[in-house]
Amino acid sequence: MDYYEKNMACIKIHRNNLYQSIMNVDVSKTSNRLDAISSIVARDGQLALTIRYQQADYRLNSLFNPAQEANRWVEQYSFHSINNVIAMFGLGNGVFARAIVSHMSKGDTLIIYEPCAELFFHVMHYYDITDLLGNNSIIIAIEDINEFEFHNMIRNKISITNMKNNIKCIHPNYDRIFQESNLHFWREIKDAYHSAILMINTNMLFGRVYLENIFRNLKYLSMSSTIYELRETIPKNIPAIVVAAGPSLSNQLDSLRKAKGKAVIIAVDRILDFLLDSDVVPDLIFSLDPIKPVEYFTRRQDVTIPLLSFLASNNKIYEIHKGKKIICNCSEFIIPFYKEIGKEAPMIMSSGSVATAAFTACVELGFENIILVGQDLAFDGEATHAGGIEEKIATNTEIMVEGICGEMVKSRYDWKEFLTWYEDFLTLNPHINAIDTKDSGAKIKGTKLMTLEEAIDTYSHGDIAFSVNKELLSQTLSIDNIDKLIIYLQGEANQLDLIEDKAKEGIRLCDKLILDNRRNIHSQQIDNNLRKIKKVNTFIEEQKICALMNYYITAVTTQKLAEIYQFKNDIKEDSLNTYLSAKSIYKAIIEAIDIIRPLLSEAIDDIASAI
Amino acid sequence: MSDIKDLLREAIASIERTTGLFYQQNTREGYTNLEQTLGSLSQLADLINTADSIDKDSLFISHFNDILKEALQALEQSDTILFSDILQYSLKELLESEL
Repeated sequence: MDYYEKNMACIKIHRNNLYQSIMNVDVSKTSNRLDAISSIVARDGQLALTIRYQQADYRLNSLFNPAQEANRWVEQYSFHSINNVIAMFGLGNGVFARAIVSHMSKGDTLIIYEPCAELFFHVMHYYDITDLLGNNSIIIAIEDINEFEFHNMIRNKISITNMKNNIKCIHPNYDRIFQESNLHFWREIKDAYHSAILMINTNMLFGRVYLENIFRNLKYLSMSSTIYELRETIPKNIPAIVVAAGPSLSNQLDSLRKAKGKAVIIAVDRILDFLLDSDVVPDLIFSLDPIKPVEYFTRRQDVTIPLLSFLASNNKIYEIHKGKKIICNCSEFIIPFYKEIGKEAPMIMSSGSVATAAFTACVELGFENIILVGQDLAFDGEATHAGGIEEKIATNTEIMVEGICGEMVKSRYDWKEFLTWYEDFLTLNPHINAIDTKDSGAKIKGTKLMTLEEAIDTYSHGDIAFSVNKELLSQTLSIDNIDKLIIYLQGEANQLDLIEDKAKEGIRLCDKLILDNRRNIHSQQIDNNLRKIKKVNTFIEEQKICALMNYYITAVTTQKLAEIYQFKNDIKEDSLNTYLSAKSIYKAIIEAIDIIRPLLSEAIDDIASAI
Repeated sequence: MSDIKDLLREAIASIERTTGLFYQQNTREGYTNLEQTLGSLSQLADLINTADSIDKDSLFISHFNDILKEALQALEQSDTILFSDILQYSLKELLESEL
């Protein structure tokens, strides 16, 4: 078996998706980029890569000792922290990646972006890189083969606990040779950081509100259905229309009226009144935002159109809405209850905007043809929403993006995030056919552009005029199931005292450890205390209500969470910082319990009194 | 003689620092440090030329000069890695042999 066969066999076992991508690659895209590639024997007998590109020669390794060069190169990076994410531009022949791996600990991830498929295939033929290919801590993305993997994984891996200690590195000379790809590499990292910061800021803003909404909305569970129950009533021969609030919606009202009955029309909450004022009645409304002002939902007191929402959505909207609630996300806390009553717990993912969440809901409902109306993701002059509304936020959030006609259009950072979400989603779900019907605004790659009339003519089959199933509308939880809900919630209420005791124990243990640390005491007792803390953490993490508490804890301990895995290689200082961070988190747990206790008690009373 | 040995040690240490910087792609700092390295090497060369303890026709001087020429050629081509390799594996070895 030659090196190529050996490497491919390894890829087939450990990276089947990459294997499939390699087997299906368009060879014309991956060859003839470089003038020449060769591997020459260095003085120590190892192979060194050299390439010729645009009539210039580049050596990618030392001619004397490639491995030693890599070892000296890697010394500039600090691997003291935990859960490091290392983003590397350029795989080369693997020697620099190996130097990084030799410093990695369990929990670290190396994400390599190789910009040249031609070079990758040369390495596959001349080098045994099975140690890298078979390493699950390494992600390899190769341009023109599976570059989306880099985009996806860098966004997945970057979080609040590792943002400050991520390592970004460039294989020597790669930035000089592959300049455009290098820019793309840095842009992906920058965008991933923006995305993570947006999520952190969202969590910080909504932490306590999430908790309050979830508990206050629990009483509506008994009268609600789930998105999966709705799915069973949806006909398969018509598309879904997601109506967002962008300025272009104003030009599409006539078409929307004509589409009634030929598609399932889901309107985001922000645009409801605008539609109803224009005699467009959606079939469903979607609400997501935990603190959206009620006036951005409706000024009407008699809205009975079924509401798709998250349990964490704004409680005030739940109260003002008079119709059926259809739960799309019940929060992890309620999953065991649904399992107990034999129902699939609704847990569709939030995706940053109410429109993208509505889109996700459409996919969960089984729609493969989803029409977007009013999803501009760009300004129309100064207008941000239909009806000429100009929502003012900070001006330094404005950026330019590609428009549907190829021109650059003014957008915002958060809209660009949603744009990226659509593009990523459609890349990962090629079976979904998204149709964009706007006549202006940001281009969403992966969507088809057509008018709403054309989309309805093309994708709506059948003569049935759709309306939401009446049986579904009258469906509620049985009395037995409501009793089970109350028992479940009472059980969780009882656990709160135990969790609080454990958190207080955690604080006591941290105080002892801090004292010993400051006194430079080293004893067996420290190990005992650390073991006890581990038990405390395990107990707390196993509690179902922990998932809810995390909303609050993340919000109030953002700075501590950002530092918790950062280490400076000074054991005393690192230990002290860990104990102090842990103590802050235990205090946040106790605060969360103080918030949850009365809310949970009120929720139980409300559900019981409704029977 | 001890002057030469001190200079040798200083030159070796300076080579370590400079090559480390170039291997880490810290080119600007590497060039800054290179000044010091070249200074040490220049002092060493002067001392060797004037010292009675070293045979001026010896292979050491000839190798020393050849290596420096090779290194400077690499530097002229902006090949800091080859330059570092030459300093690290050829020159440093030669200097260490005189300690």
